[in-house]
Amino acid sequence: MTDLHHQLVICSAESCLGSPARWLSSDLAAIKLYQMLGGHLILASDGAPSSIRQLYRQAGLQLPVLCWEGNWLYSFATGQICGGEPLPGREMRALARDLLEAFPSASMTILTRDGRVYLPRINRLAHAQLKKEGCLYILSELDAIPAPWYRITFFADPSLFEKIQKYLAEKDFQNYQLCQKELWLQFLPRGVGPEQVLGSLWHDWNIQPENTLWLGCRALGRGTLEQLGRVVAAYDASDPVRQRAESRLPFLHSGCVGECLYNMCKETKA
Amino acid sequence: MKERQKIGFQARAAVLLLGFAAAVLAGALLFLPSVYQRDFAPLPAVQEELEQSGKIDLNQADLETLCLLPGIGEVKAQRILEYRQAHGPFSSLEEVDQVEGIGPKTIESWDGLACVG
Repeated sequence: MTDLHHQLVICSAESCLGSPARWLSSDLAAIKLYQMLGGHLILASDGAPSSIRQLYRQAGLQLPVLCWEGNWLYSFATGQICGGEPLPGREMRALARDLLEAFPSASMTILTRDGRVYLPRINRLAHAQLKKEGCLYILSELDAIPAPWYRITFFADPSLFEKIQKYLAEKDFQNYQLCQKELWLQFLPRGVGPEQVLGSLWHDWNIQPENTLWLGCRALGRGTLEQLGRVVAAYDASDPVRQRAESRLPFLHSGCVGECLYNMCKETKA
Repeated sequence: MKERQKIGFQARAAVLLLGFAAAVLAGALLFLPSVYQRDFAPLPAVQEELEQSGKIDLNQADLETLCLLPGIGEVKAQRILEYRQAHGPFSSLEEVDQVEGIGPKTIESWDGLACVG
């Protein structure tokens, strides 16, 4: 067993630890000890960094948080997204303007490097989603939104999606990846994703993939999931994670996260 | 008359200056790290020691460090400190059994995490 300096734990905050107000002191203590012994621990959150800031302070966590569907790390120390290429600036600004003009009922949110979310136009779909994520936003003219942009989320009635896709296909500009969800279309830089974030962490900290513990629910690409040393599925884990997992957390606030980390501290020195 | 006006002006300026200074001080206090943060931020010296030994030394650890052990909250950590103060350093892990509220099961769970130096 390698020492804790060469081990990485990625833990889903909401699925494994619950809401910040209900964190178990035993989980908190184990996280602190694991860190103090040299282990790397990163929380993955479904919310915006602002929603998890207090939790980070309580746990004395000093590493970045994995946010925005696992696509980027956000550092509280620098107040910025760490690593990862942004969207191509000028072209995306022009495309965003065209889209807003062509679809007047649609809304758009833009994520910038400082983790802020700007809205050149708001509609009820965008408002509901941002409220759900606990995300604070800034209403702003498109031209006043600072570069670089990391993500553009286009909120529109799903019946419009086909039309939008056709509209985009007509444009001679494909330097982004498009991701469609129930209520929105997302423009992301090419190659962005949790797999890429994990790869850069392994490289930067000289950690072998087999020394990584994935505590959570979020699915990863099959190849990456297979590379991980250990996977523990949260109660709401996706199917691929469940299938790959050696064990499962039975429910929230079971104290299993703390137990897992204490065991890692013990095993490492054994 | 002019002299009195000058003094009045100076007094008003002093009050304004004091008010400004108080506002700046209040602002600075607001942005200081919270007590919780200061209490629980890992202390470099403690962290260094912990990383080297890989275990919490029950004879050296302070309240915050003791709270990192499984089953130990502030109350029990305080009892450990009081016991240590009253009886001197622990001679073995088993001796911690003498501290009120800490039983063999808790001590067993510290296997590999705590030691007595």
